[in-house]
Amino acid sequence: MESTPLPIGNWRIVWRRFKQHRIAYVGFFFFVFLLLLVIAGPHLLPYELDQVSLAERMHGPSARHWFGTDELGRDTWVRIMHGGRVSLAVGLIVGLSTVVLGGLIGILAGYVGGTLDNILMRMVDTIYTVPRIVLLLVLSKVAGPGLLNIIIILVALEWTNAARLARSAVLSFREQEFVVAAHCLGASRWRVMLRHLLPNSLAPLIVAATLDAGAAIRAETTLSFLGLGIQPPTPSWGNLLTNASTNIFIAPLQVFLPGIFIFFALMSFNLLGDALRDALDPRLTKTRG
Amino acid sequence: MLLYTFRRLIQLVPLLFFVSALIFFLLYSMPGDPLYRMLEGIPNLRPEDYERLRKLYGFDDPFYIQYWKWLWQLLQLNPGYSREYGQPVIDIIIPALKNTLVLTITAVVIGKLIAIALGIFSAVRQYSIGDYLLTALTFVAYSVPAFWLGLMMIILFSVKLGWLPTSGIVNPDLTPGTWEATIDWMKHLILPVSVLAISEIIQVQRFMRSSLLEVLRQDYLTTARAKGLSEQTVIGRHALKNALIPVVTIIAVTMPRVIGGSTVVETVFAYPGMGRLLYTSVMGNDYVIAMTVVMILAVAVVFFNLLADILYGWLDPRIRYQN
Repeated sequence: MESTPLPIGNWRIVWRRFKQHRIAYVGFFFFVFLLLLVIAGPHLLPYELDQVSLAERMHGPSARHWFGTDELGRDTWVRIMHGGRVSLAVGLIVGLSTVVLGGLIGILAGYVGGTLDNILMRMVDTIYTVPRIVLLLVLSKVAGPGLLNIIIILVALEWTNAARLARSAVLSFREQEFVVAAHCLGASRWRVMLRHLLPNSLAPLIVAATLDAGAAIRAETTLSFLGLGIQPPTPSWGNLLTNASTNIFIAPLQVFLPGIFIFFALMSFNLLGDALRDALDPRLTKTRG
Repeated sequence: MLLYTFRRLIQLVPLLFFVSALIFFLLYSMPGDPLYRMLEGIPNLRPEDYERLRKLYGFDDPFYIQYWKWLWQLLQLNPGYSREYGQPVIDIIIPALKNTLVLTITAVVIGKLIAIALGIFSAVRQYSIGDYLLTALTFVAYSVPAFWLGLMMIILFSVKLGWLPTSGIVNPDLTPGTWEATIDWMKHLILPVSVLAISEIIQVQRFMRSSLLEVLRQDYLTTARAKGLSEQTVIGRHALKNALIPVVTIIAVTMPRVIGGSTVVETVFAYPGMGRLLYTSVMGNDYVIAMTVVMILAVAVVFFNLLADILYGWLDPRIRYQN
């Protein structure tokens, strides 16, 4: 899976490749659409997140309630939009932070080498030894529920992907002329890492950020669904499903709706990640449709 | 080869050691005293009795001593005693392990065979409508969160159609051993197995496709075709053998994901396996069970990673491990 790290000299080439990638458009479109939807969505209907209406319990979709209502008469559309804000925010924050943290650790490990590299990579190995969801279950129980906790836990586990990618990128050009030249010109070790090694390892890191964001949404919604992640009253696509699934026999539509949004979010990140991988890989000369 | 295997095995010992320390530390740091929970129902228990018992069972020992005792007993296959179930942990784990093995092995065999068949189809018909359609479908299957796919299947097959049971594994009304009971048990397996198989199809399908495409370009296949062999023989007997080598390896590589996936699937379908046991014990603060389950899953992951490494060299004589 680890592609050869690439000197992306020319971002314009990458951008052109990305634009020619039709799949990328689909992913990008879905992502922007979802983002705008959850930003504007709650304002499109005149209900508050926790506005209970006992007269309208478990109604089907109508002009008043586009997605119907739950067992307390709360509007499902408004709740899904609010939940989407939380779930997408978790994805974006975790995707970004894992790559910053993992990227720096990976570059440090690859560049410094020796004992530090050994310790960091054994940490990565240890985290990889337990299936991710199992560690998440245990960690989220230990840390307790809550939005901030779930973000910290996800970052604490997911940085490993980016660290591995950045490390293998750095290892492949640590001895190359431009690094040696930088040293000869008197650049400090930090300068070499941040000015020379980091920009050259960006390509795999950008792909990792996209895929990690998707993985974070998957993990958060799964944990929240199981009652270990984000807890009501904070809505998330995951805990909306927990609530809806207790009435699965009466109102299956309420189970369908939050999930289809998770699906679109995951698909948009996966499509974007795939397209970026193709666009950033110099070995592919032909762009695929 | 033997030496390589041996060296890899030796490397695994510290890795599992780290995992055990990590898991013990995490669950040790949880609030709640296991002894207190066991004794809380007893009416005339004096505080000094409680202290005496704490000492007796070593709960006042420092962290590393407790860890060492736990690890030492675990190595002797004595994972401890569950206060929630009031039974030795091993008696609870064994049936759960059996159920999980049935679930995962069935899902892996069915899922990977389908994935290989789809991959072959995609490679042979590269750039056809069928190829595009399959690529899109596996992508969609991959992007669907497993727990929601499970819920959707329950809605379709249990709620709407009423064909299959929603959860569990046995119907208590049927006598075990009879035909009805066996068929009922298989019915309980269909939904969890399908969800587990579907969400993990993509890697093997993609890998099979690209691996076969790579092999199909090679000269020896032109030779085979030039000899006048039918396309079926060329692909089935000549190309497939080489193309399958990396696929077998990737199947072992994806096993940790299947193990993780089974945790979610078992919880959604209330399937009494290791994953559900982990979930209920984590939720119910039964850490002795949780620690044991995590350790068993970790050993399984490590085993499959090792297997992937060894298979890679063993199946392909072109690869040799140095010293």
